[in-house]
Amino acid sequence: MSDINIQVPILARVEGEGALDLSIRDGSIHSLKLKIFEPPRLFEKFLVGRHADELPDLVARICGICPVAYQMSAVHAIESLADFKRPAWLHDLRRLFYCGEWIESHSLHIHLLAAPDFLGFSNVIDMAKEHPEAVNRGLTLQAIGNDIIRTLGARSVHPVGVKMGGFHQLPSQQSLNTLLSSIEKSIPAAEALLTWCISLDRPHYESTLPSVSLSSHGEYPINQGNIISSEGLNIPLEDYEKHFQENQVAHSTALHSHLKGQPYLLGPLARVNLNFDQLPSKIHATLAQHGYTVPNHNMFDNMVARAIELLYALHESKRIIETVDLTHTQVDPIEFKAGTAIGCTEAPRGLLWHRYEIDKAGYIEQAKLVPPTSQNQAHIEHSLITGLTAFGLTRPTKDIKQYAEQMIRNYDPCISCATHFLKLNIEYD
Amino acid sequence: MTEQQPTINIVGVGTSHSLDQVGIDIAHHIQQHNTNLNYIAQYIYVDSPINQLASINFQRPTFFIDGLITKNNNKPIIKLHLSQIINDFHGISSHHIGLIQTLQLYQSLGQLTDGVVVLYGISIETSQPIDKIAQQILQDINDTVSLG
Repeated sequence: MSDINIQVPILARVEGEGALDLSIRDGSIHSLKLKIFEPPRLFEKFLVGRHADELPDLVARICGICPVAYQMSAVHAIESLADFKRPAWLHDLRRLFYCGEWIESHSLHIHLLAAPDFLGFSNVIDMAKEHPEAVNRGLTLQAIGNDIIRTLGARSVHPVGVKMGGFHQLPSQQSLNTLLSSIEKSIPAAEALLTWCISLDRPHYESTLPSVSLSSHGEYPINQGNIISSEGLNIPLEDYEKHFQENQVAHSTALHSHLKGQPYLLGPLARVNLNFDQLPSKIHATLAQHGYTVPNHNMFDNMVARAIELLYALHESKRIIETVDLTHTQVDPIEFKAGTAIGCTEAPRGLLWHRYEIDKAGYIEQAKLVPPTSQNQAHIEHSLITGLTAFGLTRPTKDIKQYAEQMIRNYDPCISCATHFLKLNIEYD
Repeated sequence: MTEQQPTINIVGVGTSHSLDQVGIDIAHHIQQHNTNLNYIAQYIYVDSPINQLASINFQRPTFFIDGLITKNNNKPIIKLHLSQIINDFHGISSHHIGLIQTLQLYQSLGQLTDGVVVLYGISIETSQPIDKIAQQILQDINDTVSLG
């Protein structure tokens, strides 16, 4: 059998720029590299010397899809170092803020990026002609997520409403009531979305590598908690670097991460598997009707997990708006002190871990940001190697390409920004 | 203004407090400085087209103004009609679904009518005042509306 080299020179226009090189020899994968050659963005460097008060607005610029995640990991890191105890109203409003991001991001991924794969379309614009109701549902849900972010963050793109110790301005009761009305109306649509996702014909590829997420007592993890794994790990955020190792690989400017030498999975499927008990009983009931059980190791069910979390985020947003008490919202100013500030939250794509070294005046001396996409890289490569082998390497190249793209998109990495980004050059020896 | 006057949409696109706010600023400038028009202008400000275009009534002529502060302003105003937007741009966006992709998607969903949809793409330098460009765009909108 001849050797096949599949080179994907550019994964276009992404927060991480990348490519995929695949070499097949004698019917097996000789090498596979998910190459990320994104130019260094140097955020960790240019944060140095800036005051911690500036962090929320600076780190929000790192990502257009999950700016809230960056803001939350940053402010929680600094607030923890300052021994700031978040009052209940602030815990709830930040959770609501984050729910908005989950709703927006998950809806965008399901409808605009992933669903065309499962329905046989090359992009959502073609899909919309035959499935307008599904696309319109997605747009409606996504807009609600944006409305939540705008209500708390002053604008939906790179919000500016967050500050250390709270928000610059709290939402009016009228704006919360408006949100509540939209959320209540959208819950049936999210339930229909979950049913729709489960009904789609999905490939099956199981990965049993460790899953990792936060775990928060009494609530589905979003903004706080310990780091846990499917292998029994349970550590405080401060111990992250003792257990997780980042290493440079030649073909990527993003660092690979391993847990005890193994790739690991972050994101919705990992979160649902590890925190299923924290989902409300009404979601359990819906999933039981469809025979959905955990742990679910089918990587193509990441889309279903997103639909579960989207529905959860709407229920949680409704609960928060109905119960949050904003009658006493005064908090003491943050008193900065020197030390190491660590924060970690659940971005839509998984753990987003931050560490800052701060001087006594609150200026940043060092910053380290570990985003979920880089942590998932090694898992993506592992899945591609084993998944494509199981799929069949003798299949037509276009089918291998499509399957590889779909597998990569299961993770919703930032490098999947362009919905169908693989341009293949195939060489036969 | 009378009941017989047509109504149009003037849509400023961009994110405030950023290099991307030019479209917002120009639409706002037109709104502030031009009240005696031969049509009723509905001013709309959009920072996330994929989430906000659903609220726009495309039965009316709709003029998008999107801009960027840049050092490359050799061609400060580019005017595109809907057919150009739909047919001439492919795969230029990424994770973020921008204005053009949103219009393409809305076209696929059948939500854009045969009415006028125009996009003005603006590039100006930091120090460049926007009033002149705003007046140029307004004049073009006036001409387009008067032509029906």
